[in-house]
Amino acid sequence: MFKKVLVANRGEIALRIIRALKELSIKSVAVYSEADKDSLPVQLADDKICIGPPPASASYLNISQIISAALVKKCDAIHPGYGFLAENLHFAEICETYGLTYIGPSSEAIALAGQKAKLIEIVKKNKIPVIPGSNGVCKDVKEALKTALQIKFPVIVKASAGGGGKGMRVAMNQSEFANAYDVASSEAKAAFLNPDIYLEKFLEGPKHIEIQIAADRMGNVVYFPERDCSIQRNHQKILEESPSPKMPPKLRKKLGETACKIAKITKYDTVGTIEFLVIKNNFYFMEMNARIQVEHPVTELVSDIDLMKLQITLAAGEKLQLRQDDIKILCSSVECRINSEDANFRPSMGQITRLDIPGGPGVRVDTALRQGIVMTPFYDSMIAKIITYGRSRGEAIEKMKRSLGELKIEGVDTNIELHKKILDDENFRKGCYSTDFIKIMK
Amino acid sequence: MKERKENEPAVNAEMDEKTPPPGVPPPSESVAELDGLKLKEFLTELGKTDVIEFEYENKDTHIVIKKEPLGRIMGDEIEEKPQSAIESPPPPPPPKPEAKTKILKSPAVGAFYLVENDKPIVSVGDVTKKGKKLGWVDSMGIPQEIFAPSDCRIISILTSDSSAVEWGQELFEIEEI
Repeated sequence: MFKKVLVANRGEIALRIIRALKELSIKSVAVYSEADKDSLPVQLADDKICIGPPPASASYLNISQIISAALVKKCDAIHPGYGFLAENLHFAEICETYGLTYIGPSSEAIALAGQKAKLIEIVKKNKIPVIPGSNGVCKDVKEALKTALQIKFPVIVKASAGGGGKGMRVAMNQSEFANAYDVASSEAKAAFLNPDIYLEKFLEGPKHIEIQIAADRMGNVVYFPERDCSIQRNHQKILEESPSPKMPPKLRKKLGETACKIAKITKYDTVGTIEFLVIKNNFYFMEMNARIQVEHPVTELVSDIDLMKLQITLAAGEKLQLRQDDIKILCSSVECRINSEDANFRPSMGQITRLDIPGGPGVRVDTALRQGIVMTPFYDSMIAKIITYGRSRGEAIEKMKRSLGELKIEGVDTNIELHKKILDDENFRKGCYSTDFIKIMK
Repeated sequence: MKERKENEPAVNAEMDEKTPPPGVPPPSESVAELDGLKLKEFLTELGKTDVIEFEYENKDTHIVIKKEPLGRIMGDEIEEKPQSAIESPPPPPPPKPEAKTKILKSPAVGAFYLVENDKPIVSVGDVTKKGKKLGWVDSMGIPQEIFAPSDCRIISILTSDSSAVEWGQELFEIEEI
């Protein structure tokens, strides 16, 4: 097992990693930018090291500073969290070169997860349904249009190296296609330094369902109860729940087994997520996320298994102690991502002048937010995750409504009201919703 | 009409219309017309002079104007000072010579080195030329050198040789020459 781990992230996920490390009796070293010197993770870690000025490009994305920090602090592993350097193949390879364990899957699995078009081809060859689309990366806009006409509009243009809703554009018809292609490609080039584009048929009204898996290096794989991540804005998730309402048990099992099959094909280890689009009882593989995800707490609550500790022990080379039968649906759970943003989803900056955190039975709050801190433009706008659980979906939702009522954040705009509206929506309450929910919500 | 400068004994003198007090506009019209706007103008102009007492008497009109010395106008906040002191305040103390000290910080995370070929590159008190190498931070095997930004004297070395340093850590205090 590791002795000392460098936590190469910030905010709530850095705090989550530090807490898991403490419970595993592993020392933690927090890295921080000048902007985060007084942050909670920096205070709670066993040791800390400043890696640069506030812009992420000069600090949390600065590979040489982070590797150097791990070396001078004599760490034996680095946890990348999510975002920043998580899923960065180059970073994972450099960690290996310097004898540091990257807490995540192997470089090969990261490489494959990062080449979405290639992975889809591999999955397709293994007779797993994929969304009709291009055969791998499109050569140019001309070839892409030819494919679009074959699979019929509407289509979605996607960045092969993409993620987090970036580098993604829908073209409803031929006249919108060239522009969608150009915008997605230039966005992909800017965000991921890779302009490669692939095409998929745009499915209207699907559910975004994902399966959490855990695997060791001996080839043992298990799946967890599905997460429903269909409530999205601008292709970014804002509310997740587990299990998915109205999920037929047979389909749940099929999705889980398929996720395990993909993990085996790609020789995946540690924890990861396989994403699917589901329409009625049909499902299509979408992508693989080679990291711990933002929404992992709902799965932790539903299964009562600590995924963060599991990820760390698996990265240390330990054997997976869980069998599939050990993983059960013990309750229902909902997560609301609280963002500092205005009604148009634009980031809101300012100093937090008031902060009241909800509590009570069935409520978990993952946040590094504190009164007095200043929201800067340097980092992501997600400031807290409120996660509730109950014996039934209805109970988890009621606990969430109570929690959002108790949650008070002043000094910045937040999306708390939007969450309240979602929770009160009739279709949401019935569990009848898909990825276009926010767009059509009254 | 009487006029008296501060710190001068008040004297009674006959009003000489052709020789008004210094700074006071000559009353081209009869002083008896000192009412309304004209009185206001007169007072404004009088206020600009150092005359502190003015008395005018003519038929039915009797005007006495007295100005309080500066110290009392301002209340207790300042002491009353002789006129000369007010007019020419003491020169401000000469500015202290500005300390031209600078802190040189680490440009990277890594190991800080001060010693090359078993000899310290610089020591406290050394005077060095602009551009001279003072030390370096080894970050993943890549040396990031710290140079003197100007001709300077090394006042203190804030981090010891072979120490692990973080970004922005203070390494040298120098005094520009």
